Amino acid sequence: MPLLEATGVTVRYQGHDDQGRRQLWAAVDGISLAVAEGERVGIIGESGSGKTTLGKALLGIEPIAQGTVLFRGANVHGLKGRALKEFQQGAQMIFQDPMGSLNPRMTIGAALDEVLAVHKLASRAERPERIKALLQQVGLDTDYTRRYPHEFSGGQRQRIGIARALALNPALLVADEPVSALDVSVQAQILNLIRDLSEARGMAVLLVAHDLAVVNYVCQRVLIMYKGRVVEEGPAQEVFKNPRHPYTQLLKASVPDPDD
Amino acid sequence: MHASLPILNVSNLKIYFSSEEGIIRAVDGIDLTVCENETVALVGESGCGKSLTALALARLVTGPGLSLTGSIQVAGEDILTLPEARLRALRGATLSYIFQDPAASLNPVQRVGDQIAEVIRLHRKVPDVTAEVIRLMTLVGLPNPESRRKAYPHEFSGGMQQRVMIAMALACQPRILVADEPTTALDVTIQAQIFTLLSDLQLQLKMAVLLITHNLGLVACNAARVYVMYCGRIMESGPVEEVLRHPAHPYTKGLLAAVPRLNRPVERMKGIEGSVPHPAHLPAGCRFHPRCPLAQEACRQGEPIIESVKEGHNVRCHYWKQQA
Repeated sequence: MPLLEATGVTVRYQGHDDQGRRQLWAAVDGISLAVAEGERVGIIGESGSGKTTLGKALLGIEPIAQGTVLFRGANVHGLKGRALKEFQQGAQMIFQDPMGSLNPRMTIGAALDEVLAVHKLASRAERPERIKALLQQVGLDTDYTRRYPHEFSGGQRQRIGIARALALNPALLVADEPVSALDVSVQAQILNLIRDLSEARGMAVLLVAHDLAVVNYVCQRVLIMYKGRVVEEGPAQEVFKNPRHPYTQLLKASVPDPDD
Repeated sequence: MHASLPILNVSNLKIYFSSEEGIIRAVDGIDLTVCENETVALVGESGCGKSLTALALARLVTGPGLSLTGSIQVAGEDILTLPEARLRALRGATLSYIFQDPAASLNPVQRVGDQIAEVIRLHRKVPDVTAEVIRLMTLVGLPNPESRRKAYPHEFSGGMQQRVMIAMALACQPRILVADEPTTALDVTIQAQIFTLLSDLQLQLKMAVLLITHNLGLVACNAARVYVMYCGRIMESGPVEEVLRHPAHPYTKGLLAAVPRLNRPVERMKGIEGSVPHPAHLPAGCRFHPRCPLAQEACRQGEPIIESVKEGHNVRCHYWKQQA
């Protein structure tokens, strides 16, 4: 059984047609995909393709109009109570703007402490040690716990976001454009971190991104989205080396290569 | 490549600010030249001073305790001493800009045609301004200009908004176009369209382009020469082929090693250790030394001078010769 299995997932939004009449349109249109334990899968698309909406729908954050999402066999969109909390522990998300996902008035130590406390993962006495271990795992200084988000650089904040996700020891990490706000030199550090953590912990990663080379670097398998649909999917190396769909071919041809 | 005359000549440009934490040396003595018809790239990470440099070219920098020194020559005019009225005439006519976020540069409550017309009326005497607006919109590939000129910016996609910005920037046939991260907010397929458009227009209109970007791929595909900037200094400069194929500075090498490629086997990327220092607390000696794999005592002590690697290829590093 795959870790995550989505079948015919459709997300609809209220919108308007050319004449201004109300109309429902599908931001995500009948997408099926499966992620195995420990597997790294990339979802590529341009703005408006529905890739972020799909990521959220898979985590149960975005309501779906049709289809099912199963996480370890349980329907993600019908979870309540303890089962919901267990799912939230098992599947975590990090976002493009780590500043936007951290409370500016909470120290990093407090933010990590809260996660461990809410999910009852460690006793009050154990938590400081766990927090230090988490910071170490993402390559941050262990005495950063008293600092506030604004005292960190963008790359460090993304590491904090990852530490917070790791606190729950998730089986799946959904990363939505985790490096697109970061400088080139820092981007490589974060991509390496995600890859290393995935390998060391057997953690599956669903990487949502617009950058083909980033996905190629991190993921084994890739899905190419266009207007809410998957137009091509397969092993990342194969799809990027030999794209079959004209849209994938256009995407690949549009990427400027420093080696050209 | 240097056959034509310089249209832009920057020498020893310094842009300093004063802050509570001390003097911020955002741009610290840079030299830069762009020749007629040439595309030159200025590359660097956030906070390196590349956008400030771009703004300074038309004396558009403001800020607390600003000190702007050195010299900037645009088409023979000395920008830093030019009277305000002459400067206004030059902005948009001799030198014009396009920026990262076209939506922020356009007036949301004015029709795009009127915004393009304003530039024309301000700088040129044209009998039929509407016809000129339509001609410009056609030039930049905006469909149905007769009707679309009456639309508002929000009725255009990001790529189309950037085309409107380009139409405004080109309305007076500038000698040099400064493009500051012009496609960073756009999708890759649209980015490719915009750069194709820019290079076509450059050929037609014979203008120089200064491309400010962090994307080395765009540099490789679009520029003839490149300046690599770090913490307010130019670390390396030269012909694009030379600098990207045979980088001499460890920072340039690090940047190149940190970009994932589609056409190469997936090997582990190195990246660059650490992060960019705060501009008020720049390290002594070479500004890159805390992050540099080659750093030695000399790098902590003194800042390297600019040395020539080859004709036109310069580097600011003590140990560039020692590198394989």
